[in-house]
Amino acid sequence: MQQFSHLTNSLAYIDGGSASLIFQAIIGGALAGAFFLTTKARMLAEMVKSALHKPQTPAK
Amino acid sequence: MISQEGRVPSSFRDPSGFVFKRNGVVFRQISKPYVSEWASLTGSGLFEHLWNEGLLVRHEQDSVGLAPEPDAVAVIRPEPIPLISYPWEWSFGMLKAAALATLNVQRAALDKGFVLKDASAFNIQFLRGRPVFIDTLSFERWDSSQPWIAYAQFCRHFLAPLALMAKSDIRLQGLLAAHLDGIPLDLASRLLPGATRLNLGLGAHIHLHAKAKAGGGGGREGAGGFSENAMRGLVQSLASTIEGLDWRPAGTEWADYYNDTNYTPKAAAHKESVVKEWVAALAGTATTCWDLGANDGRFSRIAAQAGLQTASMDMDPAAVELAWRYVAKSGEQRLLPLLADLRNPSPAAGWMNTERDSLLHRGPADLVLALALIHHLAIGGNVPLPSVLECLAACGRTLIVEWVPKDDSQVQRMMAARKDIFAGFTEQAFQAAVPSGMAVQERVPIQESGRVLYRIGPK
Repeated sequence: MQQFSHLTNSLAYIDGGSASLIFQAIIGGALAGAFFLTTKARMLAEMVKSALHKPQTPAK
Repeated sequence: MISQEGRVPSSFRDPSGFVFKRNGVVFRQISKPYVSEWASLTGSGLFEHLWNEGLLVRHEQDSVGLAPEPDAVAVIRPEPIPLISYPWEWSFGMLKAAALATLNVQRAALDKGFVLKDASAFNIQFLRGRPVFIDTLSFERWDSSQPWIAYAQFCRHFLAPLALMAKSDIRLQGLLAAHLDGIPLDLASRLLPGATRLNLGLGAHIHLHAKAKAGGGGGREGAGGFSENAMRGLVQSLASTIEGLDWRPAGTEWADYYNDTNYTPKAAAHKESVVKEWVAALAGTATTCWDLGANDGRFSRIAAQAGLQTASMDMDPAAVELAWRYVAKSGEQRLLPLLADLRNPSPAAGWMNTERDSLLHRGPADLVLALALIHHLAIGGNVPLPSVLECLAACGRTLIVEWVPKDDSQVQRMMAARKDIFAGFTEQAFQAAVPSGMAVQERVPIQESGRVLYRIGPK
């Protein structure tokens, strides 16, 4: 049986691709904004969901 | 090539450490340049988290005295992978699962203050029916002001091939075998349909990204200007772009094979029962099986369910995708679907031809199933019967082979538009072609069929 062999291929470590890094920096603002908005939207959705499913206080 | 002992030839790029073998067991040396990262990593809880999520191959600490080179600070013994496979051998769904697993590893790493320093598809293997990350040393401390160094590699290794397979042609996956560091983004951009420029994810991560690369760049230091939210947004954007890619296995050669066979129900049932019986008899001693020409893996499942680690290989992307979907849905842990054409199996590749093993070098398996395959090789591929048997014997120690006679309707269909140059395609010639170290152990004609099952093993 062949075991574990080809593990390391750290090409990115050697060739980071500087243009890619700059490209990320350029689109970073949009990505951060999108992430912020989706996170907030998810939080809001969860708050609404939990509010809707809150157990009702039994009537006295 | 897999060295029997010492440093594994593929493990040379990363100064953090390397993989080596002792007495057939695989270890990994962690070297001095990685000492402080290693100390932070082992104390961070990241490994335990990834192990619990099934995202990282498990390892045990071992004696540093085993290390073959003097700058070792630790030695680990990773869990063995039954069969190493490569991205061009995976189905669309497998490559997609591997991509998403890499992004999930990245997310978990970010939560613990680390980041993946590479995102190569070779860092993923399939274990127990799931993609797992195997490069334990791929993590470095995260500086949230820096962009992701492995972003371009991720796009080349995962996003570009998946987009090409989904949006252009499934066969473009073959480009991965020619471009070991992933499909160049400018090439992917040119090959993708123009409409993909309007897709937010593909437009940004492939088309604009390719344009930016064509324009050149400064350096890692010059990038800066990133943020934690930008990194998380990048991972989220890549994940949603990949999740949006789909490919449906239909319309290729074999996807409907089992609806287009010449077996009567009785013949099909008899064939299955004989294979089941023979596999069960071998299951005590055999641990691995290669099912060659497996189609959607119907017979591979018999071997897997008998306890054999089974590679279910077929040349048709649709058939392999169907086999993968079965694995993903059923949770079958011993089945590995692979795209492989026995007429042109994966060659050795990479630096010095030793980084990536040829398919045959990754064998032999204990058992080979070659059911309804022989006529495709001998008649479809013009391979002489002795060569066919030689190849099967190179793949496995015991063979279960289905002989398909020339008057079989499937063979007749194959020969309909061809000149009959196959006078030597006879059962007698097949028997005579059994390699010298092997012998026919059993011969069972399939009921209501002219086909015959052979069990061939060592003398």
